[in-house]
Amino acid sequence: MRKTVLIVDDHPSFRGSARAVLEAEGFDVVGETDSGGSAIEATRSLHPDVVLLDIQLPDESGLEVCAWLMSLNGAAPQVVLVSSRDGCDYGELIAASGARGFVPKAELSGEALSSLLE
Amino acid sequence: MTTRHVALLAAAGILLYGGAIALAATSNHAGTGVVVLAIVAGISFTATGIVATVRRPHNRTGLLMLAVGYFWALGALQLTQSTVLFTIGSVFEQLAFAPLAQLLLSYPTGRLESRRHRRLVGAVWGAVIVGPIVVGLFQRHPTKCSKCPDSAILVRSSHQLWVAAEVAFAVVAVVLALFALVELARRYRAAGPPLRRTLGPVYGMFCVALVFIIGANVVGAVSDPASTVLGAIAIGCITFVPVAFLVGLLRSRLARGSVVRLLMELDEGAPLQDALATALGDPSLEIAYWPERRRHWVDADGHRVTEPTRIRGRSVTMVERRGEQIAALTHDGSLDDETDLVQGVAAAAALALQAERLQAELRNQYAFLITLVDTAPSLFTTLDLQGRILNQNVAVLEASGYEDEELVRGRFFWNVFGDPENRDEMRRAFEAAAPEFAPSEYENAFTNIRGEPRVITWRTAPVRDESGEILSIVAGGIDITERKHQEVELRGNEERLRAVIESSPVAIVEVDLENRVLTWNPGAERTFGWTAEEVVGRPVPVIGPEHETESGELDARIRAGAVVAGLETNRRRKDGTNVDVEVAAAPVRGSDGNVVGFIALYMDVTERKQRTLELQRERDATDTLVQTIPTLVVVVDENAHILVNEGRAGINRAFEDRLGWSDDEVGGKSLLEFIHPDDAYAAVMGIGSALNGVPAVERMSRWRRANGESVVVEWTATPMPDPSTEARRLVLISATDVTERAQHEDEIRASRTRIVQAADDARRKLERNLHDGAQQRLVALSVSLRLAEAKLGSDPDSAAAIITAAREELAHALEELRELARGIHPAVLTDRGLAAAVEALVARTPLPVEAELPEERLPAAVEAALYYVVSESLANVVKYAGATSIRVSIAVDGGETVVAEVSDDGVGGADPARGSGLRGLADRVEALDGRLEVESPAGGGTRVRVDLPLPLPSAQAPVGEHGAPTRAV
Repeated sequence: MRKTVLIVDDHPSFRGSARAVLEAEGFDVVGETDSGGSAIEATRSLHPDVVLLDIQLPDESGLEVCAWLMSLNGAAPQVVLVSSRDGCDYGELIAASGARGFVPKAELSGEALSSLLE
Repeated sequence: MTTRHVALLAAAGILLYGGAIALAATSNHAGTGVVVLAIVAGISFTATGIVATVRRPHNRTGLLMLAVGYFWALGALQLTQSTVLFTIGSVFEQLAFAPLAQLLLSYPTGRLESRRHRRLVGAVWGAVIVGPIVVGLFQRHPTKCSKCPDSAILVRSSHQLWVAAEVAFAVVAVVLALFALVELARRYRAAGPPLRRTLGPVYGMFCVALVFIIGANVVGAVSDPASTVLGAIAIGCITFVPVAFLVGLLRSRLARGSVVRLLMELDEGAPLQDALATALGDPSLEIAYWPERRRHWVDADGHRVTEPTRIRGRSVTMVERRGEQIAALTHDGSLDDETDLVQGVAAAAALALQAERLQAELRNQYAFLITLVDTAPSLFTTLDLQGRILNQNVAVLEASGYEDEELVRGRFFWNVFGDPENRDEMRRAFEAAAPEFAPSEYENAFTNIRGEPRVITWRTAPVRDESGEILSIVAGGIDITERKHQEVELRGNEERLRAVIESSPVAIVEVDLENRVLTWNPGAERTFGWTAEEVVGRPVPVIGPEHETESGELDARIRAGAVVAGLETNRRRKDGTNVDVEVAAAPVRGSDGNVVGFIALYMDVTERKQRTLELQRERDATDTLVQTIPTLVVVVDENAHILVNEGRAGINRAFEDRLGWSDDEVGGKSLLEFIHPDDAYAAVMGIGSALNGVPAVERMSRWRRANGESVVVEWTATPMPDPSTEARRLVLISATDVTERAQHEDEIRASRTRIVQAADDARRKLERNLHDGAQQRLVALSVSLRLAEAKLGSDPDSAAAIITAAREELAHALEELRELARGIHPAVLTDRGLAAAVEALVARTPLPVEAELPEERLPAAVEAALYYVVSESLANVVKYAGATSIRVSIAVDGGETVVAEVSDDGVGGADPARGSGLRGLADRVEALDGRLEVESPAGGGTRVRVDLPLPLPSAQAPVGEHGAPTRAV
């Protein structure tokens, strides 16, 4: 069964390329949002398995959105954080966030994603 | 008592006794013997009575004797036959006893000394008068005499009565006789030796007589003849009484020799009282002296005694010399009789007393003189003819330095009053003066035995005796040591004064009362030109015709005794010019206090006047300076009160103008009134530290303007001396108005902050742009390429499509990067300059732009600033202005400024304060000392104008350098 993915990122070019890669590599992209708020709404309504969450969001920090998503009892999706910045910039925060892991945007692939999911 | 009296008395006596004898011869009842004796006794009494009356006229003894004699003679009338005469005779016969009794009791003075004596004598008189009368009253004739005539006063012949009367009479007689005897004995006992000598024989004789009388009376009762015999013996005794008296008389004549003896004794120096007593034979003699100056009597020892008076048998004889009483001799009363003796003795005493008195006076005078000489401050000494000191007074002893006069007396004068080196000289001078020793004066300086230097002037004179022989030499000296010291000191003072006058730069001129010059010091020579020789003795030359009035007034004041000082005037010089002087003048008084001349001091004040003028000019210059400088200047005193000097407040023009206060609003008030309360403390501290001599550091304060606004000043406080004559401490406060500067500083600070902020903002923006723009694209590109790589084997077409899309994406990314780079700093600006960069901007601007651009290169910072201004302005116009055309012009104006303008025809209404972009441009421009102006009336288009100064060639930043601009942004 292909996992459903919600892509949350405020850059349309990345959203486009990410969809292309993930759909080509076994994922179902069910939605694209560009802000934290809309991400939460979309999660509620679409119930994706995976949320690909950019840390640099315009309205909220992706980490905070992640925390909220984790708080959804039962229907919490698996969150994978992405950023155009280096993972080291975030230090412990990623580990403490509750997300499955982190992938630098430039190295995004289906394989990279699957390796983090359970 | 004249001879006539004597003759009369004698005649009376002869008459009486002649008659008596006659009667006796013819009487038929007279017993012959008795009668004869009686007559003899009577004659004896009468004769001695006469003699006594002659020799001692004031002595009643004589009278009494005469009385006895006469009465007794009259008693002879009993021998007559006549009854009357007989009776009278019997009375007188008895009566004779009365004066006899009185005589005895009052012998030898003739006075009855006591009342008892007087009573007794009175009783006797009474008895002898009354008795026979009473008897005669009752007795016919005496029993024994049958032939006697009858009593004339017979009243009654009564045997009993006349017996009784006779017995009574006899008793009375006996009693009285006994009393008399007792008194006589008493008198004798109480008498002194001389009196006893007188009384002795008389009383003795009389006592015997009395005894016989008593015996006669007693025996007469028994035996008549016996009684008669006894009576006769008694009468015989009585007869001797006058004889005894004569003896007393004779004795006084003999005593005259004793006066001579007295004189001799006195001459030999016997004590006066003893000698007088011996001479008078009266050991009880006392002398009382009446000293010249006293008012009372004194005895020989000088003790006061009561006034000598005659009492109780003592008499007083005055001793007089030349009519003046000098003493009184109190002696036995019996000596009164011996007037000659007593007078002679008194005279001798007078001589002796006078001598004594003179001696006493002499002693007093001597004592006085000795004391005088001894205590006089002058020196007195007597020298013998060899020059040895005979005696000296206390002053001499003191000068000699010796304490014991024994060490001085007898020594040679020059050994005591000469120094070793001049003793010989003094001795020779003394010997040379001999033998005349003429009076001379001599000044002697020596050091006495105590080491004290003394100077004494001596005057010597010889003392001669009556014959002209020189006995000794008297030297009187005055110790002038002190005076010598004073003279030396005075000379010293005079010398000093002279030195002062000679050396003083001030002209000192002394003139006499006629204004002739007495003293003219070197200072006067210098000041006026004349030398002393030219002016001394002549009228004062310095008064010219123009000075006469004023000098005359001055003269009058000085003559009146005033002292004038500090008078500024001028006087004439020798060369005819005037010299400005300050004059002080005063009268000169002599030792009697009268004015003898005047002294004037002239101080040349020409220089002083010049300096005063210069000082005044300097002060004026300073004043002008202070008034015109832009710094606010205010002068305060120690209490921070603004100074008021000659009615003007201590502030300058700048203070008035800048703060708006006027002179009177400020003068005298505390400076703190014009300072903001918060800054008052600092002001007080600043002023205080200035007063302590520490110039204060610059402080900032807010000062109040008259209109209530504040100005910010930077002020310092400096201590300054008071320009007027009072010695106040003042503080000068100078303040610079830094209000604008403060504002500028605030603005600069704000602008710097903005600039830094802008830089930070730009960086942030850059980062975001990079992140959001190029970086995202590249990331997406990376993902796409990987996909393409993945799809290359399986689906080459989609891979090729992906790659193509990726290439496009890459182109966009590059474009974005280029834009970004241009935003940071366009390379064209550095490489090709402002004009080219602006042209590139213009090319990218969508609206039509007309540009006028300079050809030359400008400093990099300036070009950068202008570029951003134009860039920002163009972007704003495009974004907001709604314009159709834009004009850009940049031009250099006069080589010193570059002016850039961007104007559009849009809607205007741009608010430079709101847009942060324009704000940042303004900062950038101002950082280069330039100015940015925006004119944007609503509906009238917008014009942005920038003026930038061009730095001087030497400071010009290198142009066209690669890399960072040289001005910090």
